[in-house]
Amino acid sequence: MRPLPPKAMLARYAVLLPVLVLVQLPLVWMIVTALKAPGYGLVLRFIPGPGETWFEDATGAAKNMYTLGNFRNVLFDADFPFWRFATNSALVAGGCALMTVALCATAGYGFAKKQFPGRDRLFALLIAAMLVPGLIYMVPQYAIVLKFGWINTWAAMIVPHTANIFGLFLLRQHIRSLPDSLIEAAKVDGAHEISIFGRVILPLSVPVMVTLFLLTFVGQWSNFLWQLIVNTPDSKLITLPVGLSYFQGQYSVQWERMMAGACFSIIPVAVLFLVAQRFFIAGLTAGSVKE
Amino acid sequence: MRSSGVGRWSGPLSERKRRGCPDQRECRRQPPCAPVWQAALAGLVRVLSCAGFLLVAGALAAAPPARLTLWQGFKFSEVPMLRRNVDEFVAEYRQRTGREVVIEIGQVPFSDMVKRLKSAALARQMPDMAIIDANSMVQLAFGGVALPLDTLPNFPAASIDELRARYVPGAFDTNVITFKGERHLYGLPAQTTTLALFWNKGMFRAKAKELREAGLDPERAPRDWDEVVRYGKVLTEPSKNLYGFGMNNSFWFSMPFYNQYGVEIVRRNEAGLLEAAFRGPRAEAAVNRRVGLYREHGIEGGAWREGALDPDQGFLNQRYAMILVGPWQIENFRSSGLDFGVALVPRVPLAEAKALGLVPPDADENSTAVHALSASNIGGQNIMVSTSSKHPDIALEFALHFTSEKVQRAWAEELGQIPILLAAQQNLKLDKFPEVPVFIEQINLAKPLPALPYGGVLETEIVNPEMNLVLQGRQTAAQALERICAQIERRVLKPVNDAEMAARAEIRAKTPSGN
Amino acid sequence: MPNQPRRTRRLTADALWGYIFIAPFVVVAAVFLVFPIGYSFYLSLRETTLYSSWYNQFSDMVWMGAGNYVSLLTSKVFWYSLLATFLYAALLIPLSLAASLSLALVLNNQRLPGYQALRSAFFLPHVFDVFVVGIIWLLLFNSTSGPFASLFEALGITWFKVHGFLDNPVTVLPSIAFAMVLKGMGFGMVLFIVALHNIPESIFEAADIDGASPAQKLFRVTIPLLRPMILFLVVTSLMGVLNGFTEFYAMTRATGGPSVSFLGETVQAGRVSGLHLYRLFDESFYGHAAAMSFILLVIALLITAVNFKLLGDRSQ
Repeated sequence: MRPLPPKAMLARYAVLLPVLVLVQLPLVWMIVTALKAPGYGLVLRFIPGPGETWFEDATGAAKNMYTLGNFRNVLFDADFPFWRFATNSALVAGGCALMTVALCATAGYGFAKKQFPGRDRLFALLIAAMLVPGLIYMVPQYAIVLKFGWINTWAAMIVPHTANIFGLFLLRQHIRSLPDSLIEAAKVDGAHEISIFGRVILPLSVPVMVTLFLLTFVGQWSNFLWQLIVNTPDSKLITLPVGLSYFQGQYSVQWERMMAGACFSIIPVAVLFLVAQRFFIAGLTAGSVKE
Repeated sequence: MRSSGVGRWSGPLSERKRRGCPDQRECRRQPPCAPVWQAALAGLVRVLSCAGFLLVAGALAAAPPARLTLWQGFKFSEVPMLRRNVDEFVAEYRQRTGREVVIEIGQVPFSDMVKRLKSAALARQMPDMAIIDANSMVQLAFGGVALPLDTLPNFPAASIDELRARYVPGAFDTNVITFKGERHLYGLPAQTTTLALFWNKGMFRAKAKELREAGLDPERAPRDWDEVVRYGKVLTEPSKNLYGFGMNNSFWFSMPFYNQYGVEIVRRNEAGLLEAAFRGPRAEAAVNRRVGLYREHGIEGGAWREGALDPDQGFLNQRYAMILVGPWQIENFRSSGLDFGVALVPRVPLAEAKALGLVPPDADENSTAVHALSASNIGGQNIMVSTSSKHPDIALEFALHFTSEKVQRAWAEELGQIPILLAAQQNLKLDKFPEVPVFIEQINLAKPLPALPYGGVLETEIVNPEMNLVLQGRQTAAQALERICAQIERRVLKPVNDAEMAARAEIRAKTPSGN
Repeated sequence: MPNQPRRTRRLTADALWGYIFIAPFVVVAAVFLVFPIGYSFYLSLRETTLYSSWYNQFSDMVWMGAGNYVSLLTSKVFWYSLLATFLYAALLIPLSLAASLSLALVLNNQRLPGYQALRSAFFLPHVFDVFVVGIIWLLLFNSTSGPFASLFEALGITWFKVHGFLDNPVTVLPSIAFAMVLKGMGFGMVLFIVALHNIPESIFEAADIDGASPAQKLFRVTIPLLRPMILFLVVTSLMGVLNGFTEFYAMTRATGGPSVSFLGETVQAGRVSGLHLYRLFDESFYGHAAAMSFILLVIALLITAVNFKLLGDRSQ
C-alpha cells in the first residue's frame, strides 16, 4: 500500500508520539525507579552528579545512583524461595486460565448454537450477575471453600474464579457469528456433537480463546488477597504476590524496592502480551459486540 | 472480580503497623519470677542430663511431642534470630520437663496479619501463637481469639500490675484490655517502637552561621517546639524545596503531640462507660501546635499530604531537616550516607506547659516533670496465645521466654531493637546502634493509643480526615475536635458501651438477686 | 433428527446437548457466583457486632432487617460517594471515548508506517495490574519529585508544586481519571478499529459524493454508525467505575484522599462508591458492605436500562 504523503505522516507522528510517551511513562518510571539505589527513588535526577557514579564501583569512593540490588534481594535471598513462588503463580494463573477457557468455550457454544428452554433467560441472568460488585463474592466464596475443605489446595486457588461471565459473553458472541451452515455440513457428514464442537467450533475460536486465556492469566498472576486467605502460611502453594508482600513488612515505603516488586507483576505480563499480541487483538475484536 | 492489590498497600494505618516492628528474640525461658528456683532447676537439669540421658530419651519417646504454630510478620533479617529463640526454648523445655515441643514458624505479611487470623479463625486453623500489631490486640480480644494470659495456671505473677512493673509500661498496656467489665492481659509485648526526633546534621551545619546569628546552636537538636520553630525558620527555604520539618498526618504519628499535651482521647465516666474526651484547651493547643508548624510558621514542607514527599523520603533526600520517625529507618538512613542525629521528641515549651497546668508552676527545665513532657507514642508487636490452642501453657512459657532478659538483650545488641523488658535495658553493649539509647529513654515515656475496637475507623475514617481539613485551613482545631468527639461517640464508643451494658445485665441476671 | 416447526415440551436431542455443554459452567457459576450473591443478600440483612466471635463470624451476626440499607441511604458519606463516582465517570468516560476514537481514527489508517507497532504500544498498559499502575502514578504525581509538577513549574505554573495533584480535593479525581484514560484508551481503540472495519466503504463513498467535509463525515456518518460500540463502552466503563476501587485505593494510599466538607460532614474527596464499599468490607462490616453492593447493583441495572434507551440502536 502506498504510504501517506510525508507531511501527513509527520503530522500524525507529531500528535501520536507525545501521547505514546505519556502512555508508556509509568512502565519506564517503574523500571528506572526499581534500578535506583536506596534514597534515589524520589530524586528527579537521572544522571549522576558530582560525587556520584552510575553503579557500584569497587573503590567505594563515590555513591552509586543505580543498583541491581533491589532485584537481587528478591531473586537471590536465601530465605525467599522466589522460583517456587513464581512457579506456583504461573501454575495457578495457567490452570485458572485453562479451566476458564474450557468452561467458557463449551458453555459459549451451548448458549450460541443450541436451542433449549430457558436459554435466553439464563444467559440474561448470568449477564446481570456481571454487574454485581466483585468484592461481594469474597466472603461467601471463602465460606464455600472452607465447607469443601479446600484450604491449601490448588482447587481453592483456581476453581472459584473460573466461571468468568465476561469470557462466556466473549465466546458466545464469537461462536454465534460463525455460520450455522458449517455445523449443518458437519452433521451431514455424520459428525457427532462432540466432534462438531472439537473439529469445527474450537479451531475457529482459537484467537478468542487465546485472548481469554491471556486476560485470565494476567488477572490471576497478580491476584493477592484471595491467594493469601486460602493458604495457611505453611502452605507449599504460596504465590508470588503473597511472597513479595513479605518484603513489604520490612521496608516502610521504600519506593525503589516497591517498584522492583512491581516489575515482577508487570514485566511477565508485558512479555506475554508482546509474544501473543497478534492473537490478542484479533481475539478481542472477534469477540466484541457487533450487532 | 480481580481482587488485585488489596492489602498490599499500606495506608497510613497499616503503614505504621508495619513499621512498628522491631523484634525480639531468643533466650532460654526463664520464669521471670524466681531466680532461686531457676538456679535449682538448672542444677536439676544438669544432674538429670549427666545421670540419665537414656532415661530422658526414654521419656521423650513415650510422650508424643506437643506441636505449636507461631505466625509472625517479622523482617526476613530477624527470622533467623526468632528461629534461634525457638530452638533454645525447645531444648530448654525438653531439659526442664522432659517433654518434646515442636514450634513451627509461619510467615505472614505483616500488614495482613489480622485479616489472615480472621480467616484462619473461621477455618478453625488458628495458630497457637501469633505476633501481631500492638494496636490490633483489642480486636483479637473482643473477637474471642486471644486468650487472657492471667487466667492460665502458670501465669508468672500474682497480678497483672505486678507483671507490668517488669516491662516498658506503654508497650505492656497495649495488652491490657477491659472487656465486658473484666480486665485481662491478652498478650505480652514482643517488640516495641516509638517515634523520636531525627535531625540532619549536615543541613544544620550548612546553616551554622545563620543559626548562630539567631542565637541557636547548630550542633544540637531543638528541645522544645518553640525551638523547632526558630531552627525551622532558619532552615526553611521554599524556593529550594528545603524545609525545617516534615510530618505525617496520621493519628498514630500525631500521638506524641497529644501525649505531650496530656490529652485524653476517651475516658471512663462515673458509670464506668466510655466517653470521648478529645477536646478542651489542651487538645486544641496540641492540634494548633502541630498545624501551626505548617500553616502559621511555614516550616513544615507539606509532607502531611497523602500525595506528597513523605517525611522519611524527604529526610532521606535532605529536603526536611527534622522528622519524627522510629528506629526502623536508622539502617536505611545510615546506608544512604546521611549524617543525622536522634534526639528526644521536642516537648511542650515550658511556659505553655505551665499555662496549661501540665507541670507544676515552679518546675524548671531540669525537673523530671518537664523531662516527662517529651512523651511519644507506642508501636510494635505483641505475642498472643489463641483460645483454640491445645497447649496454652507451653505457649505462655514461650512468650515469657521470648520476653526474657537474655533474649531481649540479644535482640538489642545484635539487631538494635528496643528491649521491652526493663531489666534488659541496663548495661547494653550498643556500639553498633548508637541511636538506640535515645529510643530506650523515649520509649519509657511513651503512651499507647487508646485500647479501642474499630481502630481503623477511628484513625482512617474519623481523625485523619478531620485533621486533614484543619491542615488545609478549612476548619479550626475546636471544630475538628467537636466533630471527632461526636463521631467517636457514635461510631466507636456506642457499640462498646452497649456491649458493656448487655454484659452487665447478663451478669446481673445470673447473680441470685436479694436473699 | 426432529425437525418439526412446532416446539414440543419434550426435550430434543439438541436441547439435551445444549444442557450438557453449559452444565460445567453453570455448575461452577451456581456454586461460586449465584450462591454467593444469594448469601450476600442474606448477609445484607444482618451485621457483625463488636463481640462477634471470630470463630463464627457469620452465624454470630445480629439481625438488622432493612437497617443496613436505611443506615446507608441516610448517610452523607454514602451520597457523597455516589456523587464522586458520577463526577469521576463524567470526566473519565467522555475523555476516554474521545481519546480511544481519535487513536482509532489515526491508527486505522494502514498507510501509516508502523501502525501495527503503535497499536500494540497503546494497547499494552491495558493488561497491567491496576494497583501497580496506580502506585506508579502516585510517584509520577508527587508534587516534589514527580515529573508533572516539575514540568508545570518549568512552564511557569507553580500551583501543582504547591498543592499537588492527588493532594487537594479539586484535582484528585481529575488526576486519577487522567491516569486511567491513558491506561485504558488502547482497549477502546482496538474495539473502535474493529467497528470502523465493519462500516461498509460504500457509505463513506456516498458521503464523499455528497461533498461532506471530514468533520461532517465524522459527526454525521462515522459516530452514528459506531453507536453500538459506544454504548458497549459506556455501559462497561460505567460498571467499572461504579464497582472499581483499586485505582482510588492505590492513588490515595488507601484513604480516599484529601478531605472536603460535604453538607456539613467531612468526607474524603476521592472516596468513590467502590472505595466506600471496600472500606466497609475491610472494617468487617459485612452486612453494610453487602447492602451497599445491592444498592450499587440496582443503580447499575438502572443505568444499563437507561443507556439502552438513550443510545441503543433505534432500529431494533
